[in-house]
Amino acid sequence: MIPEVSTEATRLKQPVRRYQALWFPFLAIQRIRPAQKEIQPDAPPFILVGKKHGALVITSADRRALDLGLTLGMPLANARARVPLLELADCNLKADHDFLLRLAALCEVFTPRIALEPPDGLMLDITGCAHLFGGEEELRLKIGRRLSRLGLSIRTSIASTPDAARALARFSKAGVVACGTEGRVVSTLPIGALECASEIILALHRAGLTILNDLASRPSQMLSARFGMEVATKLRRIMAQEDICITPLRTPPDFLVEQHFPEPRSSLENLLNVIANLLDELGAILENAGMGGREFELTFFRSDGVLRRLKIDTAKATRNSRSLLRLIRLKIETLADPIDPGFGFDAIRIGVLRCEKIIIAQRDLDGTTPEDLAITELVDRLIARFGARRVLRFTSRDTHNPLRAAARVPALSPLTESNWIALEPGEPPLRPLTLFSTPHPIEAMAEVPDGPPIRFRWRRVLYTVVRAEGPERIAAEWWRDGAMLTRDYFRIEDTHGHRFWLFREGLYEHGGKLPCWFLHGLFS
Amino acid sequence: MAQAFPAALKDYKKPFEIIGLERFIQTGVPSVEAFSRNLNDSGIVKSALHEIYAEAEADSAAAIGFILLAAQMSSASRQNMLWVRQEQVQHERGAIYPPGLQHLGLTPETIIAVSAKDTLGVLQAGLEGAQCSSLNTVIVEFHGAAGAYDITASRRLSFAAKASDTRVFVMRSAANVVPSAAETRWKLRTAPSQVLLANAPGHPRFELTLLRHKGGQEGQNWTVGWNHDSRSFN
Repeated sequence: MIPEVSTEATRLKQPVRRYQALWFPFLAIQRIRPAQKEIQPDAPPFILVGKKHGALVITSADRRALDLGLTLGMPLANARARVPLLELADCNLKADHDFLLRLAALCEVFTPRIALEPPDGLMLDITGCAHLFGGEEELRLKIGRRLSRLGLSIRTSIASTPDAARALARFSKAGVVACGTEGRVVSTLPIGALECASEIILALHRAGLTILNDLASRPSQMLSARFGMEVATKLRRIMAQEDICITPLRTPPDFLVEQHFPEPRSSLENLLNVIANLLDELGAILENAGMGGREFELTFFRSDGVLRRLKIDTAKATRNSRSLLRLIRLKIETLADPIDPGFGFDAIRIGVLRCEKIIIAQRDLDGTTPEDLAITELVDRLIARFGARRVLRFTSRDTHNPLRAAARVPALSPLTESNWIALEPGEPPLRPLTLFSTPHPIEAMAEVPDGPPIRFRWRRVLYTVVRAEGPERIAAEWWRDGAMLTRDYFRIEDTHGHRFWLFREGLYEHGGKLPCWFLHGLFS
Repeated sequence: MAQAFPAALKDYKKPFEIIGLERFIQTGVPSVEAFSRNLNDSGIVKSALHEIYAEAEADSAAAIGFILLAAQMSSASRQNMLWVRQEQVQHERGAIYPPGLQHLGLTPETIIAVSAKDTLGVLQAGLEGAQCSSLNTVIVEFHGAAGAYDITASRRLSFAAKASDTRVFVMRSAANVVPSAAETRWKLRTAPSQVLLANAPGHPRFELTLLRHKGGQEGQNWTVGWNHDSRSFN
């Protein structure tokens, strides 16, 4: 009997979601040695070892080793005493995690909502996806087949809450459990399926409770009073009475179109045609929603499980399939490592990662494109070719420090109101045209300590100063960079008319150290 | 475009003896009025490809300044400007400094700056810009020998500039003059500025030599300054 406690309160308000749990019992082992490469039956057992409390212990073991009585966590010395002939390798948790991430990416062709269950499981939210693959059972088998091709042992099951699916995958042979029947199926699982701390499991066993039904038939207040809240909560979730939705690894895109191919395709031209169709479809969807995309992501699913993602940013929200296709072509042409079709692609997906409302502007009567639209399209093309980091615009910053007075921002970012310090009428330019990111040290000779130099050497060329203006004293922003010394800037012109922006760092009266001269910028 | 090609080619192959004759006839120091007229009639104001060679590396900032000033002489209402530089240029002559642009009379917000890794990238970006009819000016900045900038590349830029009614300036320094399809080609060096009060440096002045001009006025020299208030050379 299912306890009556607060079930109504935690009952789902939304339509029921469906989850598929994936469990790879020998993930670490099979990452190194895939199942297909299983060698002769008399080969020695294979284990992975890692350091724990200064001793080497078994972190994973293959089926043969487990059959011989080796257990996880057993010190290596003990294992060797039992089974003298052992094959072993070091465990690599990072590589295991990366492998799990790769598997998650591989599953993305089935659903965009995937969560990791480290160290050796995945949770897929397949709500609304199963019918695309011929039903839940078909989907389950398909994922199983796809992953066992990589040489992995896999156990999967589908249920209405992540916890139920996980418990079923790990502690039973149930495949798809229909919505509403989880309670019945799960109640036969052992207590261990709760996956609580070992002392709680032990306590439950001592109390004579061995299967979940023993718990479910008791009031949950009693359980939480004796064994803690955790047991009651976990039980509710496993019995599919409470759904804690998973947090997907990657946020699913706002809009998404995809095309699966009956058999792998490898011709790029062919794929671009498919992409063009998908973009038309996406454009129609976006138009209905009154939205346009700022960030698009193309995902190529290769048949051997390798994923290739391309990202395209646009300066303005767009849903124009023609200009998007042009950007995609540009992006593909300029890829440093071209898309490798291998044995072909299974599917293509285009997602809109960021979208904005489009306010439709009327075109001119003569049909010409408005100026700013042409500019944003130009920026898009440049970004597709060179990357957002290399296409910049300038804005001003509110500071007296000339080093920080201007900022370079990606051309994609929205324009802000700038306030540059205006020049008095009749004044020549007081700021240089170009500025060196690190001022160049120069050898300079000044007539008077506080005056401009009369001669200086920069890049091994001697310049004689004929005109100078200064000093313009610029002190450091003490609240920001206390280390910078006060600088006296001079505008300098040499005999040939070259104009420079020099400064002397530090002051003469401070200590015995002589101030240094630097060249900071060039005037036109 | 199809018609522009033979016409441009014809211009390019103008008989050299005629040019020489014109050069011979022009004597004396050309006036600034002639310079301005030259700029306005057929020179740098025209939507075409223009090349500016800095005489020495130290003159490169002046060359950029001249381009930026010349860019303001356009009557077009379009504001935006594309400025393409090769990445290494930044180490040679420093990064673009927006307050300095503002002091030359430009609005820094209207500039889209692209830094490309190699000369080919610079040309690709420059060509993208030249094809965009909403830009006022495209500046392409090279340093040293730019192998990718050959006669074909310059012709592409030139046609694109004419087709989209945009001016393209190619600025070069530390480079030999190579044949190209440019409408005008200038050699530039800085000139001492007019001294202000208390021996302060004044407005920028340039010494210009017209190396090539499709109207046949090459070989002339001018020393011009910039009047910030009237936005013109004097």
